[in-house]
Amino acid sequence: MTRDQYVRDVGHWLHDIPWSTRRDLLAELRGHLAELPADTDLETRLGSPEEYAAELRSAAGLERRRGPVAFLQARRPRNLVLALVTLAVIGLAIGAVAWIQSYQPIAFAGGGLDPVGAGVRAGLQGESVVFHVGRPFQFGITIENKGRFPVRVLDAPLPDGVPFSARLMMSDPLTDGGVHGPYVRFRPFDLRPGEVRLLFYKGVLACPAPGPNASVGFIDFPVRYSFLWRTKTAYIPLDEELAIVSPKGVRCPTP
Amino acid sequence: MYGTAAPLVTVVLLFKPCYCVKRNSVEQSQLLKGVLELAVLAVIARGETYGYEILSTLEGAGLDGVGDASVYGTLRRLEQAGHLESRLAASDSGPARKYYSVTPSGAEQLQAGTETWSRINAAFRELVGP
Repeated sequence: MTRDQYVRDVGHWLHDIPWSTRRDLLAELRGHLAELPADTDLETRLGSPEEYAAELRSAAGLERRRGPVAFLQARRPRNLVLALVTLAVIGLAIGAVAWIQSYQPIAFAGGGLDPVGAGVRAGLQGESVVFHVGRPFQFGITIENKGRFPVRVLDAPLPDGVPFSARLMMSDPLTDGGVHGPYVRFRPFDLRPGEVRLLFYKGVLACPAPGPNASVGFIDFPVRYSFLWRTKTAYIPLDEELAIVSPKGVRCPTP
Repeated sequence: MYGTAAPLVTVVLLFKPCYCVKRNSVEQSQLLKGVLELAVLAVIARGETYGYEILSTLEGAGLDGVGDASVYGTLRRLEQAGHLESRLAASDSGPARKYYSVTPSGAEQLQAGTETWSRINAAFRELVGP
């Protein structure tokens, strides 16, 4: 057994005592071994590392220690700090990832464009528009970034089977509280904190293409956006629901 | 029965001298435990010294049953109790040596211990003496 190995093994048997005490005792043992003649058989002279540790512990009055406090005191302070820093970094990273995953700063800004001819109809909450194939149709809301960081608005993906054919449009940033043009065809843009824009669909009422979703009621407006690495769709609740109703006798062809 | 036991033990010891030495060391170390603290203080009181030299001095004085770990453990305990103080100094043979010296408290401890030991020793001699 080499001297280094002997010291390491003694350290193993003293693992429960405070680190600074163990360091001093092992340093002194290392110095002692250096004084011994090179051909000294360590186990013959000192006993096994376990025996040496037990004798040292007995003579020094170092009782065996257990429990969390002893465990922490037996650790090297630098390692404890490293472990705590690592845990803190991991905790912060987990917290940051969770926060980024849940970051949704887009909210309804209070304005919008309703379809032509929309109005309140008995039996329906919010507004409704009567479906007539080929009639102009526009529908959208203003959105605002109420967060502290910009997000990139990518799309406003309406579900399949909606009864209109339209393209997505957008306004420039709105700064005066009003809803107005100029309007341009939608392209992805960064919505900065506090910035307001109008997103709306402009087209004509049309029978929906065959698809699984034939709903004609709108209770929210979907906005797909990205923040850092994450892409998500926020469903912005409408202040008034919108229904597209068909007059009696008008039926779209069923798939 | 007791009369025949001694020769048997002698035969065993002839074939196992190491056992004999070890057993004597164990017995001696048990006896020494009570006075090791005092012996260590006495060695250091002669002048500043370090662990290996203390061990060598004890062995030179005939206390060769003392385990190395016992001496270093005793040094640790005496230092913790304030009877010793230490300093590190570079060594030619390897790692720095830890030099010990006796504090005033240690000197008092040595004096008191020596007087106690003298009384015990005198009493023991009285008991076993002719």
